[in-house]
Amino acid sequence: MVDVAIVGAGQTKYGNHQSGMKGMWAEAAYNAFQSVDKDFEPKQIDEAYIGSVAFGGGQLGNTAALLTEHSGMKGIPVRRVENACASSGFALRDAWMAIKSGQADVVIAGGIEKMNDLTPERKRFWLGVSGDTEWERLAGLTFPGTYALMARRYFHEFESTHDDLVNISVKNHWHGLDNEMAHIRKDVSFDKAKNGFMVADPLTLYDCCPTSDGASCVILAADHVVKQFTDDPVWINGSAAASDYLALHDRPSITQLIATQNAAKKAYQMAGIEAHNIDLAEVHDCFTIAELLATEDLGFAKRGNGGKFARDGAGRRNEGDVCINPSGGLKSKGHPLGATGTGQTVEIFKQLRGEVEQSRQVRDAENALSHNVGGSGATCAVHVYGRNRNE
Amino acid sequence: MSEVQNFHGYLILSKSNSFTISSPYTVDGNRVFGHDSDYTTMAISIIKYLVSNEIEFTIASVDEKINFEVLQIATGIQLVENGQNLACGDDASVYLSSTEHSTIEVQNTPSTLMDVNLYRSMQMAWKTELDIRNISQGAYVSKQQYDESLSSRLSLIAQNDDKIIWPPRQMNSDGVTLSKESTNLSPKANVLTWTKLSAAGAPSEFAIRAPILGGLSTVMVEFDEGPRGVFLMVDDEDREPKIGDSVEFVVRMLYGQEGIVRYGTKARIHFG
Repeated sequence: MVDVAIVGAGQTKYGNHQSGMKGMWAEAAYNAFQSVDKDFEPKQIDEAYIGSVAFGGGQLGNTAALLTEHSGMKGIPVRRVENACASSGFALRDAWMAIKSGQADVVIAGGIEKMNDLTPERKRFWLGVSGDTEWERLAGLTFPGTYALMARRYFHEFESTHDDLVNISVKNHWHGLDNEMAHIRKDVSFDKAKNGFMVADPLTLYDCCPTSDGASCVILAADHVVKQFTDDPVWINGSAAASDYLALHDRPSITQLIATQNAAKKAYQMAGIEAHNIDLAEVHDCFTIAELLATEDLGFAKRGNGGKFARDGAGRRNEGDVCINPSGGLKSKGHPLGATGTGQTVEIFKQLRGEVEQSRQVRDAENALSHNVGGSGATCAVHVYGRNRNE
Repeated sequence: MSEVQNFHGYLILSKSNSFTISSPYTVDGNRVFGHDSDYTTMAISIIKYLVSNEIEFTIASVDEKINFEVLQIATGIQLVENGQNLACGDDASVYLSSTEHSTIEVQNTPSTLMDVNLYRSMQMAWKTELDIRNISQGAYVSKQQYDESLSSRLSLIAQNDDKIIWPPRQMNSDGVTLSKESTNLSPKANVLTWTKLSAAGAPSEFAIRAPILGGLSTVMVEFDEGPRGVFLMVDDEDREPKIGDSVEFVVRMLYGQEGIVRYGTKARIHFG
């Protein structure tokens, strides 16, 4: 069966953008086109998959058609992919499958979200729309509250305290400090993160990702056309996804994400490697507790040891066995919902090719992983990447 | 002399065969409703009090200030030809009596002073929230969707499919269609975890009231029968919940949308 590689990747800076959706998407697509080492024309693209929650409702229908016709891709089959914050992780998987099926050779996977052009009053209506609206939302929960429920229960079940989450926040802000694409670039001390404004007890402001504008775009190619575009591709050696109960209260355990575990298991199996072979991972840290749980669910720490993993600084760049969130993660780099998944892939493409700012380059990285979660874990896409093709 | 008991955060007064349920709060010497109470929530609680204490009663009429549909779904009562009247007083009270007027005086019962500014702010917030022009611009639960699961929401009726299922589902994990609701969950459950969400992060349904209340507290609980659920807390101003706490369930006003009060079940820390 055909193998799939990434031959180009680009994104906008995450944060508050003056331009609207069309402008942001065009910028991300242009950056992706420009990143291709050899000659590349948008007309070579066969299909496009664009993840977006369509936050604010500005362009709910036919989003992908609008964006692609504004970026040199008019006429090809396109669609919006929606799976909450995992929208573009699933767009990436769909694009990968399109090539795997043999129906396409060059496919775009991307994502976009415009979040900061809404008034605070209107933004409220779009908070927490990806939980169980009928039961969780009407119990007063948006996602800070949902993840706070998970955090408090985790502290109860295992040897861990909020200090472990503070360590994650401090690490991710340090990782994102030199990332020119990051939304929040500032060094945050342990004390400052520990004593931040209480958003949802026990989670403070420093446990929560920001709401960001942003777009990201990656170009995938079938193995038999890769050489047309680059001699230095990044291979997608494993792609898997899973789902779970939407509402937290329907799950047997709220201190683990079964969808993550199932997707990771399949992705590792497909790639022929295990968690200890991963050098860097872009992990879905919408809240710090989400990263702690992910380190366990992805196999970097044993169940119940995620707190210790964070306490020991095991995920810090070039210090531990694996670098967790070298981009700064959602916490520092930002979280434009639909753009986050393929934004993780942009970071991995550049890290594995040695193209990020030298101060934050993960050394000698061969294998990487991206982990993109929708809601509180109802959907999850995991991809495993390699400098080398898993033949 | 009437006997006064605390029940569901209200005061129950009984004398011979008459019962009155009254708000514990007063403002400027007048008895007033709490933050999320009205005649309907008090009517539900008095019926539940009578049922839980195995006191026989029949109801012939219900005051029009009480939402009868909600009362009926929450309690299962049916009207009969010859019975008592469920009527509303002017002093945030509801009484069940055979005579037209309550014979129980509530003015001299214990009361809790409520801050007048807080009271007025909450009244104004509900008025704004219930304005017909206050419409959703994003996440939305339609009246039809809300009504579909109303019996599960108001009276905690669950499905029985070898194991107890709540909230309701259409199919079980084997893809077999489930029967309609058939069993009541326990009136108490244990706290598995909890949070207090700041006003800034509250869903839009609570956005007007949450800043006045200083945020919203939510608990996830586990019932003895197995199901878990999340509920807003009520009457928790003086004590935050703890994992392992026992909570009881009360029907209160949840939020207002398009001019309609949506009622729901909230959790209340159970002492003793």
